Amino acid sequence: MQPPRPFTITIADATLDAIAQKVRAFRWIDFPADGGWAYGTNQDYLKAFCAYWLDGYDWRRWEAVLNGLPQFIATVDGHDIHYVHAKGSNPDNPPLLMTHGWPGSVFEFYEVIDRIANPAAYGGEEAAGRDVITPSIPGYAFSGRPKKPMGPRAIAALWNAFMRDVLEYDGYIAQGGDWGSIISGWLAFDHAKEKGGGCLAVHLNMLGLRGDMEPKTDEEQAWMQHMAAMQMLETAYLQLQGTKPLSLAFAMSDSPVGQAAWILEKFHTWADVRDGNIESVFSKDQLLTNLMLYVATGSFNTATWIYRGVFDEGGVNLPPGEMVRVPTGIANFAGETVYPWPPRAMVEQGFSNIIQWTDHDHGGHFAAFEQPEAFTQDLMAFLAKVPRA
Amino acid sequence: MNRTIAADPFTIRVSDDEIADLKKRLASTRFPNEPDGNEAWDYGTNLSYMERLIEYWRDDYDWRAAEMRLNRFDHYRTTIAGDDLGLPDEDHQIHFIYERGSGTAPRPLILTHGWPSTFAEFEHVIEPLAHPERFGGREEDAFDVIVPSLLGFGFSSKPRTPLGPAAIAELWHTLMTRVLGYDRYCAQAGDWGAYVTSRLALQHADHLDAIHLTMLPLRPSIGESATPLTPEEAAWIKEMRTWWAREQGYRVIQATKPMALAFAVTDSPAGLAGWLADKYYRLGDTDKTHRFEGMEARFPFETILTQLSIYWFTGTINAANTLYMAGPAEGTDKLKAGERVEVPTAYSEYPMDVLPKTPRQWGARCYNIQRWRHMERGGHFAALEEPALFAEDVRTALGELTG
Repeated sequence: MQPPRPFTITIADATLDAIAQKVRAFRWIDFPADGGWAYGTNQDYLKAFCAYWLDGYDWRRWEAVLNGLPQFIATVDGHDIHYVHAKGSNPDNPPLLMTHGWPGSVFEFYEVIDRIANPAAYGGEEAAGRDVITPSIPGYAFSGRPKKPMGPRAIAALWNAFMRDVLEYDGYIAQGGDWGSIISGWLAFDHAKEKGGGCLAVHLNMLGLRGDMEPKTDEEQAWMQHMAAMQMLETAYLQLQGTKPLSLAFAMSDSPVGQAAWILEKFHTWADVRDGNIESVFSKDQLLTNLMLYVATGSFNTATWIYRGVFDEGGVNLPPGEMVRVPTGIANFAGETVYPWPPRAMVEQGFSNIIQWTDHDHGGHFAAFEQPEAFTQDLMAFLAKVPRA
Repeated sequence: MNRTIAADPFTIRVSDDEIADLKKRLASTRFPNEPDGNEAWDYGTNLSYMERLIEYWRDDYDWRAAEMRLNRFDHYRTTIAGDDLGLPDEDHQIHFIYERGSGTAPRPLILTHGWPSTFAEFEHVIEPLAHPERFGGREEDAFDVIVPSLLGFGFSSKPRTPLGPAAIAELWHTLMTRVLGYDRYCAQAGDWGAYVTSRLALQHADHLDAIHLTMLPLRPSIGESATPLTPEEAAWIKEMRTWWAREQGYRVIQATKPMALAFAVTDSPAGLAGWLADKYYRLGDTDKTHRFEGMEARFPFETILTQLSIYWFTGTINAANTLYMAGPAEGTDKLKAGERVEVPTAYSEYPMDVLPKTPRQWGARCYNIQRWRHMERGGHFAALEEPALFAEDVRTALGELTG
């Protein structure tokens, strides 16, 4: 263990120039069969996106926004972990550990971190504030590159050591969607306070870990059928990244526009996009800033390894008959259409202590990024309900 | 109304600018890092192999030499109107090599490649099949050899509306009959070419003397009326499924989200190579005990780079990939109850990765199998890997079936 070092993002001019050069030299070939976004990324949108990338987008401006968040790198069990560490207005509250997913980044949380840490500045109570820690998953952005794929369960063990041994918090509350949900789930299961870890409670905005999923009602059966259909239509990226990430890596590492297409498709499909317009949810600046955390750091490839890691680790099922027992909050955003929450009774097969379940009409897979205010309110309400240790 | 236009002679000619642009892109390749433990390509394409391949493509590979070699054959392009064939109203340009066979009565034979291959897969078998007497065979065994580029591949056109194998089979039949004037012919193929050839045999049985396949793509209707699966078949299906679960990422992407992938593999020649090389390694009869030696021995750089260069210069990778979407949309591999290919069929199975041998009774559910062989060497790209063995087997098989 090494003590945390303060970290400031500074992407070299030469890196930015090399990216711009490749974007400018993109080999546009007119693809037939314009199916909108039905077959992947829409070509017309991608063209407009790249034009803005070259002529409108100012990375330095967004680098400054990111650097407005206090960042550090700590070494945990040989892994360099990059993280935002925002000090909160009430140090007596246990800290919140928020974990992003793929193809997101800590940038997903940029509008919620301070709201949670210092609620008084946003019309809330100073006493409700707390420290907020948002790390970059190993292989992502400014975290180190693991030598081989790491799964979410191994990352959870790393997170627990990081929170307890490096940051020296006794207890913490975990939050996440996407991979963040699965990592947070393992924190809540393997590293719960009652098992000698530090996890006091968990707040999830996507189903990750799960118990017995045998459907017992028509509603549960319908959910299973929906998931089977999604498995056919929407999990190709997962099957590929979970088996042969290196077959994809050469194309993506060499083509910034290729990375943009691969990642934009996911934001378009998974977010609560209205009228087929991705910018009904995200601005190009937001999409580009998240994307640049892959392109400019050269982390696209290693960021996909977690899919292989979970494959090798054995999946996302809790051991038979066992459950997460820490207080659990579920935020159900209606726009999460590819991986929707199942009926509550099914979730309860894996989480025995759901103390809050909230349904939201707006917002999708990237809840904190899409609906920062609603997400924050949901989370703050949950945090207020978590019993004091 | 016959709107078919006579085939025009065609010469492959890539511009100097395109070659310079390729070399420039290769020189600025940004490589990914590789996880420990990828010696046997377990995580996908191997980095050491790719570094060697890209360096060779950039510094040593001579496209002009390959171009000249391929141009030694007579190439043509012909336009076939889709609406004449009940297909979407679109004119398709079909590129093909036409090598007229020796002797007085060579029999016509159409060879169809698959993915991620090109017409050039057959470069080294065209002459042995057309002119067997030059290779120690008999002149009377000669074929007129027709090697088209699949629609969307190589120098054929890219369809606006992707077409599947059943539709491409209609283009092939038009090519063989209306364009080239044959009434009866033979067909040979593997991979996607085998789908097209199987469809050709189903849709134009009266015109096909025999087919020779190195892959059996059709799937029987397993209903109540069908013969139950034998234990051997059931075990084989189980092993195939396990294998596919680990290998199918590429085809699921291409079948569901081709446009998520298309941009990267169109922009980056190294990316194109990374995406395709893994298939040659996995499906070819490669010695997999070393990162690159077995791969390079089986597919010399010159061989694989000619394939990759054809994809690159024609900008066809996306159009080629969409066959994975168009095929299933067409329901191309599903036979109805009682339906079967009745054209006499020869099947030669080349070893492929760790897959077990296909049970003959499985093949017989879908095809009128007249000849069944398990080859000792050569893999999924048999005509490239073992051209002499392949040509001899095709010649013998079609001789037996049509004799």
